[in-house]
Amino acid sequence: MSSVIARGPGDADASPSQSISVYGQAFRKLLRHKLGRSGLAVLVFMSLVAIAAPLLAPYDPTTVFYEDFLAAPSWRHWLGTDDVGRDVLSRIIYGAQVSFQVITVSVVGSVIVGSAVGMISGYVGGRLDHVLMRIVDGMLAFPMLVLALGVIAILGPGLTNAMIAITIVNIPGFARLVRGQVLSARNLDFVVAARALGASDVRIMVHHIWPKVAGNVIVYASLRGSAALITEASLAFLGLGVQPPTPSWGGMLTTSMQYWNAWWMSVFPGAAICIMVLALNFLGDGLRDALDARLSE
Amino acid sequence: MLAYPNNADAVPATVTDAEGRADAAATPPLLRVQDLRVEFATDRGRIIAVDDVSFTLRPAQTVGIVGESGCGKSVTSLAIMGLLAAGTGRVASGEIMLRRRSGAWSDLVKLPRTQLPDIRGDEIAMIFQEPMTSLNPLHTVGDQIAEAVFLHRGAGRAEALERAAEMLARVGIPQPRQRLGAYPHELSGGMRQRVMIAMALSCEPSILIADEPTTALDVTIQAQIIELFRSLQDSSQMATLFITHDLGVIAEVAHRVLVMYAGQVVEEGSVVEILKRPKHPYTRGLIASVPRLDRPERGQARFFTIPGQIPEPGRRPPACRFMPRCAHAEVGICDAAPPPLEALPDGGSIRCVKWRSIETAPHA
Repeated sequence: MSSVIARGPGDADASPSQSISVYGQAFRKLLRHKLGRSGLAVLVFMSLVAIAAPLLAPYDPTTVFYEDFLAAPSWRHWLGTDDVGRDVLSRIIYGAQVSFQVITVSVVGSVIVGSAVGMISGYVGGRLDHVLMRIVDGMLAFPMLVLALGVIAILGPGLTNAMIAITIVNIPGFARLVRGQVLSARNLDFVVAARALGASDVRIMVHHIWPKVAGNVIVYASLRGSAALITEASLAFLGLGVQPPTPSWGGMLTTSMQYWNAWWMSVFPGAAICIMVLALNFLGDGLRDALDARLSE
Repeated sequence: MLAYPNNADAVPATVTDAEGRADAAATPPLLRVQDLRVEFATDRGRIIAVDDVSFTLRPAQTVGIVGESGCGKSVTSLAIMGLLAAGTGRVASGEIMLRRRSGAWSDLVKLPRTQLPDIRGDEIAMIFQEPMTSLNPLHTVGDQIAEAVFLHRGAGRAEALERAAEMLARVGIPQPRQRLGAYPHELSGGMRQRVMIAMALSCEPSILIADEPTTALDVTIQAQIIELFRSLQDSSQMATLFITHDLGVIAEVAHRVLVMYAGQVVEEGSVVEILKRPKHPYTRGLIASVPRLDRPERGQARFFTIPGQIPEPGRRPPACRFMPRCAHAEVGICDAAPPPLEALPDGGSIRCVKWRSIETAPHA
């Protein structure tokens, strides 16, 4: 890179350097990051399992095996069966679908709404900023689960409403994050230069500030993903999320509470939640390391 | 009393009295800044950063604004661009009249904010001091140059990139087509400044504002960029407002010069008058401060410096703002009243009540 520069203008044989975008470089760096790489690998594996659930699951998750109530792990049921004789492995595999659905929908939703609020608040500033941020502060004052419970209380239980609740709960965090980033980004030299070039406010927000801010949002999103998963599991645990018989990891834990002897009913779904949360956190760490260095340049 | 070393021949030989081609008053001006006053709201109250600055800019003319950091030269350029930080800086009074492409005059101070993006980058373009941070690290240089063409000409991506390649070639970047896909971090400072210039010129603005475009560059690269400016001047009718603290650069590129001190214009005139026959003690001090390698003054091993510092905007002397640092200051005369900007017979102007007596004792 630097050797190309040193030759300076007028030199015709400067080899065309391979240009990689900052985000492309960050991705390569993520793949070199041990924890980040393993987190990403686990998530890719789990998402493939979720997609291919009908092919991979040994049984239908709602099929009841009358002869096998609370059966311990065996060759027939690798991870045992639950209190009504359903195969735990199949339920965990199908439960991954619910988990990914919740994470994706709620994180994407809160990123979009939260970023828009934060972007406008930080860019426009003044009174609007003041009003929006006070609302955000008010929402942040509640513990996440309490706020989610409040939303569920209004909307009623169910998977869709649980996702809406988790989305709403996550909006203020993204709004705050993006606002702070925008405040520091809007006076950067290249943003002023873009204004000097005649870019409109909307174009500057979308085209110049957002890509600069996006890295931090991605990192935060991966961490909020794990929180979303835990919130979903908690809501399901309280019976306010996915309704039976649809399998969900949190819901499986709820039933397992009444059957202390059937350890497989709690350990395996709990392990699934744990692994996914860890994977998301590792990915978040890797992303932070990969993006921080690149974006601060 | 401090004596100013005689440094008049610091002016390069290339500057001659004949080189006032754009001084021709016959060409109608492109930009007329009249009594511009810019204020900033700060914690310590309002601060006047630019105080009644007036000048005109004609086609193919380069006006240089010189002065120390904080004298208001950059704020002047930001005011013209309408880029003063919203909420803190504002044009308090005065007008900035721009002759549009259509021939009509617009006052940029009164123009609705929503119309400014149409002018920026199209009719008035700007180059910034820091090429390292003025390019967006997340977009390729091709896309960044194409942006202005896209914004103002409504060109499609392919067409805009074609124009970008053309501009890169024009600013002397080898292999322009390959460079379109490069990211700023892959280019050196000089190359980035060339890219900035290409961006600014891509819509052929009638006015270019260059805010210290060479300050952050190595001396050799500086020379290349100045050479580029000169060749661009020769090949177009574009007017340039060149802001710098470097008198050597001014000597190379400017036709007329505004010397600013503490928010005011203290002297204005053709580059030859200013550099060869400076009248204001501040201008004389600036010229004397240019380091000389070729001929050290007798018995003077150190660089000449103007004593003291530029006053803080809130603590400016009430009369002559340069008085505390001036070797010719006289109590009773210089602190009596704010000196007016006096017009000179040669077309320049000066803000010093004692300039006649100083001039009779050159570099005393």
